[in-house]
Amino acid sequence: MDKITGYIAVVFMSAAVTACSLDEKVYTQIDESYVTDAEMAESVLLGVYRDLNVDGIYRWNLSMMFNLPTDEAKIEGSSLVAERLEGCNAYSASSSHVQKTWAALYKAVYDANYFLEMMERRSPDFPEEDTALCDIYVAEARFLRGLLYFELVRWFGHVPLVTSTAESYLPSDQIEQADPVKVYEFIEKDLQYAVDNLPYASQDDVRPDNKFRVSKGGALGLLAKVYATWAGYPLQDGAKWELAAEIAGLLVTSGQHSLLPDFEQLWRNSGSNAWDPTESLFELSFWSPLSTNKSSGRFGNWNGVRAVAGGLSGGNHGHNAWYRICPTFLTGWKDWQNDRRWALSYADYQYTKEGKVNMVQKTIDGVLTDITFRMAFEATDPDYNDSWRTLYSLHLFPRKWDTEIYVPEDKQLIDNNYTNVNWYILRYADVLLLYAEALNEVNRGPTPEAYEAVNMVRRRGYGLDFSSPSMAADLQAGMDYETFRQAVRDERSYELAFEGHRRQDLVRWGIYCDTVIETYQNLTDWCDTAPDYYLGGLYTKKGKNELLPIPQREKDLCIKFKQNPEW
Amino acid sequence: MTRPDSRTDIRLWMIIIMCPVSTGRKRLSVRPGPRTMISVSGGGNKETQYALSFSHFDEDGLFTNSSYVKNTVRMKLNQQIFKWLSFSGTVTYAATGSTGIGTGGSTLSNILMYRPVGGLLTSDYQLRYNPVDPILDQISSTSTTYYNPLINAENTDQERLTDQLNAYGSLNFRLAKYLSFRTSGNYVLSTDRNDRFYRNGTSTADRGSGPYGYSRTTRTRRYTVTNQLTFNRTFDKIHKVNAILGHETSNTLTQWLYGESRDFPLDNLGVDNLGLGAVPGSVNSSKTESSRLSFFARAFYSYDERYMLTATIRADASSVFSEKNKWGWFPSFAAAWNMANEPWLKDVGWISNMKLRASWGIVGNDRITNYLSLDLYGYYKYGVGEEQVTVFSPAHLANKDLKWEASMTTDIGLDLGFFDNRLNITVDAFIKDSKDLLLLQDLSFVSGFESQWQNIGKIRNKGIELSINSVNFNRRNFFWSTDFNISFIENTLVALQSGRDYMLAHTGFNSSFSEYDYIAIVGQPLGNMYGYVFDGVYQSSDFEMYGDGTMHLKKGVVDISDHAGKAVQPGFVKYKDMNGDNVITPEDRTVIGNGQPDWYGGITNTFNFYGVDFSFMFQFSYGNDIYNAQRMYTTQSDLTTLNMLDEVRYRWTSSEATNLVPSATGYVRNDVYSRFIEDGSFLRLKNVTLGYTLPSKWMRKVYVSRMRLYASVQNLFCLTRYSGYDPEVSMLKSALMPGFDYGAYPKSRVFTFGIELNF
Repeated sequence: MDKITGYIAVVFMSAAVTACSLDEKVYTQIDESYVTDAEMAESVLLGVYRDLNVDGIYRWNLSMMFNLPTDEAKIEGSSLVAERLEGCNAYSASSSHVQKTWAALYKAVYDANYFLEMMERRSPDFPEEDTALCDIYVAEARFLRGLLYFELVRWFGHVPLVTSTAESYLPSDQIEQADPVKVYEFIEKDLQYAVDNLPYASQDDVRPDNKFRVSKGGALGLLAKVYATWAGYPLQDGAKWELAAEIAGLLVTSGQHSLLPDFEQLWRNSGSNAWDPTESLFELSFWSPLSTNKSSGRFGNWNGVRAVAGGLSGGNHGHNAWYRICPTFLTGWKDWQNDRRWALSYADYQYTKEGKVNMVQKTIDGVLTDITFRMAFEATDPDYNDSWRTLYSLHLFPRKWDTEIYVPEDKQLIDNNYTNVNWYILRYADVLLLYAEALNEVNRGPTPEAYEAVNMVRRRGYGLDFSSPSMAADLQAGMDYETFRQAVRDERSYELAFEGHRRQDLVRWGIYCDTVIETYQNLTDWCDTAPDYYLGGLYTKKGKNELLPIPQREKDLCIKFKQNPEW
Repeated sequence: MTRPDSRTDIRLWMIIIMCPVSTGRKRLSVRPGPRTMISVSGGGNKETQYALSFSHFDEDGLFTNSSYVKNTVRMKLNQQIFKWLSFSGTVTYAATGSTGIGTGGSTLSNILMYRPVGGLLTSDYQLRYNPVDPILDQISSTSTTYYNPLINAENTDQERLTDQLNAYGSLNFRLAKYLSFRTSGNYVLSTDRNDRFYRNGTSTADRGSGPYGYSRTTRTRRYTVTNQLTFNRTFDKIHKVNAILGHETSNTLTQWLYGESRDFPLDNLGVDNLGLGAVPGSVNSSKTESSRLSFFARAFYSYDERYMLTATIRADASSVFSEKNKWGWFPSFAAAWNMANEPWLKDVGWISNMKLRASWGIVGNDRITNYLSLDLYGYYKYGVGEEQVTVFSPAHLANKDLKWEASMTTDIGLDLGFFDNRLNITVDAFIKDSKDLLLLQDLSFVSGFESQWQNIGKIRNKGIELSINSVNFNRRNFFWSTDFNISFIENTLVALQSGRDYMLAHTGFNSSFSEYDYIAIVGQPLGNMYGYVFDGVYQSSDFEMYGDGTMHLKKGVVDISDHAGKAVQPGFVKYKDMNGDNVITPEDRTVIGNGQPDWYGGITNTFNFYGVDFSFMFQFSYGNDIYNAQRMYTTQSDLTTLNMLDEVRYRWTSSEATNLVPSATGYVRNDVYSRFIEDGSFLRLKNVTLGYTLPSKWMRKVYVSRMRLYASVQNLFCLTRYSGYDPEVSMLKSALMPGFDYGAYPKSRVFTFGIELNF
């Protein structure tokens, strides 16, 4: 009897145990099958937008670090420790920051390619009313992919052109770099598609919310910039100037965008997360309600006004302020006395326990007196002069992202390393200046439209009404091709100072390395020790530093890759 | 553990108490060492046997603010329920607690590189008790290296508590005379809580948002159920047959919950109340599950205890592979010839054992993480305007072709015993071929991803292992035995799936060092270190001086200028030009060392003389290199404000032109070159113990059957040329990257005094 019970138990146990599933159960992640409507598709599209907000791309490297050194700015210090290597062009092809940028750009390209393929597979099953939205989302993704390849081609020169996710399965040793012209043609196609399929921000009645999303104005503006870059160094396809002028002209004459009346409003907006598409054609939003850094940025911190450790806390300050202005940029600024932008661009103070304190202070007649940058600039007394000037060759900060001024109290993060400050990728002012530049190139001399475009920017910068002519602000009439070209170049520097455009502007004009070396020499005029804080002057090499190197890791893996010249 | 001769007899069997001290290498770390207590008791009768044991171990760590405690309780029960059914069960509960941040990551570097003396501008006292270096704080932007590592360690609370419950039970059915069935189950439940809190004074709190803490609780549940039917019979007294048919299923479920909080108004309560943080940082959780199913059959046949044959076949399925690759088949065969039982050897008195073994078999490996073959989204936070939204993008590059890794091992062994097994020799020669090796393969970033799990290729592991045990003396009051073992093992990369002839790997120990520093080459041993070959330092004699004061390299001297990014000067590091183009480029990197030893082993001698026991154990390893990244990192001599290792004193200067260490700025940052590859061979006295067992007639009066007093030293000395803390280092768990040292926790020398009591 007992034995029979035993046998029954055996059978029972064996049966119980074979019922075991080998399917992988996923509890915490979703896959494509969840994308059943435009709303869900949008959160995948926003994944591509978010890809831009990483350190490798605009959160740090391409907006700030790799833009150093130029004639405008440099990195802190006189050593080559940590990121100062990158900031002085003293790094090698194995720089982890170069690798990070390359990696982040291609990850974003993958995500954009994926989004486009996914929409092709999934959107036919979406609800009928989502069709119009889907068309816009696809155009946005193509804009983003165009932007990514534009960054890849202008920073790295010779890059593989990956147009589908299937290519990710290609063995590394079969990946090849594409002809840069092919890359530009691909960018052109993507951006043209975006231009054709996106509405202007103000006419957008499809998207429920287009805050910080690209619209037609952004696509036109970027396409104009792509043409202007294509026309410049290194491809120098002069025929593209005409297209640049045409596309920029479309935007300028559309009347859909304009300058903000007040220059400083731009920084109030970016400091307070305010969205105003009037001048902002494409802007990155950094916002985190909590102290975690997951979706916050570094603007106003790395390129902000310095706060001494142990000084202010519980706010967002430039604890890691490494971005410095070259004093020669400010001293060489034409008509700085009248140009309002001059004083709005630099900070000669820092934040300490006592609050805002001037960088240089001196006891004169028993009174502690602030020695402002302007005083150091205009001083004639050689005794004081040199020590003041040395300090100002060390510590001058961009002011456009001064968090104490532009970030409202309630929007500050409880973290000293990150901020909620936004970043402009493309402003209308930038396109106006490109328009003027392109017209001057096409006609080998300025046209009235070219003059008007630059003058609008200048008038606003001088604090005047940008639509009425002004004797004080307007460029002198009757300039020849060369003079006008220089005037536009200067204007780009004054208007867009420290906004991440200068290096690429200098590169496309073919004068980047010469300018850096010239700046190194000019700094001696400011004071003898100033060049010690501009090591970039010693490491920048013509024919080399116009491009970043292909990351050594990639060159090791992809044996068909050719390294950029001189690297 | 059981005493079947005594009915319901409860006994306390043994207590061991140890009370040691340990001394560390660093001045501030002399601390009391580990304490151990073990007690065992058991008893039972014919039908029921049980045993109960408890052990306790605790230790203060070498490093400030660190400790380790472990308590284990174990219960065992065997019960004959019916004549044909028995039950056996074990329940173990272990509670482990450890504190301390360890020396990993950059912690050790921060200790070594912090200024050791106050100097003229500050006092030592200020330097010791100020959270940041008072001078560096004034002159530069802060970085973690400017933070006082002691204050940092003292104010960082790190606690890890693990509770593990392991229950095993089996029912054995005797179905027939030769047939039995066993069903068994094993259930493991572990909870792991990991807390960290950064109080004021730590770099994290200061640079971030004030006091900051997080807590993570992980629960892992694993069960295994096995059913097996066994046939066991001996025919005609000489044909022994054993056959097993079995089935096994297992399942692992892991869940965790994580919470962090920042900006605590006060830091006294630490992480115990995350709610005190002004700002909740983040909350996250996860759940993953994997399972495995196996069927197996095994047959064993032995003829006259002389010839033995075993054949096994397994079919294993794992949930981690894609639908088409879930199953793997793994056969194995073994044969043995016990020559000692042959009639022609039976009479040879001095040979007590002689056995020849041979086996061939394949085992599978599915140790990869879950979901690698599925296309899944990862999620991120993205802030649009003043709204934070959750967005999705592809999480990884799925590999639907992943399949079981299979290791085929062929082994031939010989066991020899002489003089009544006073001398035993075992020799094994084996070749293990692992094909479809599962490894994280680096992808070009062009793919959008850094790496992907792949079946990357085939490696061969071959070697010879020899062990000799001998009892040299065995008299009543004098006993001496020697155990010796040595292994000669070589791992070779045989082929790569990709068809290429090499594969690169990188340690990435620090975010600045992104270069590949290991290389696996087809046909060569694994563990090759990769970099430039150090060739001294550029001397003035390498340059031609011109009248205008400029210097140019002499013709024929290898030029490093382009690689360095600036014109080479005397004092700069010189690399060997491997491809003969007279300039240094990344093409000049080559194999600069290998982390695998040629041979390694150990020897133990044990003596016993009139109750006094003495033993010592040596360990040795020969022919392995160590990649001393710690030294490379802490000799970056252009970091002028930081402390450096002593060797920087011997750098090239214009007055003392050495050829050993480049000048302070004369090197290429983040380059790996052979100066930091060191010989890792060593001979270590791992343990020396001296004990005395008191004569038992003294002890019987106090109901103690045995009492032993002893003292021992661990790691008394180590002979090595390695300049780091410990040559027995290999920090990365990758077969591709052995012998790597960065921030490894140093070994301590432990002096132990103990009493062992048996009742």
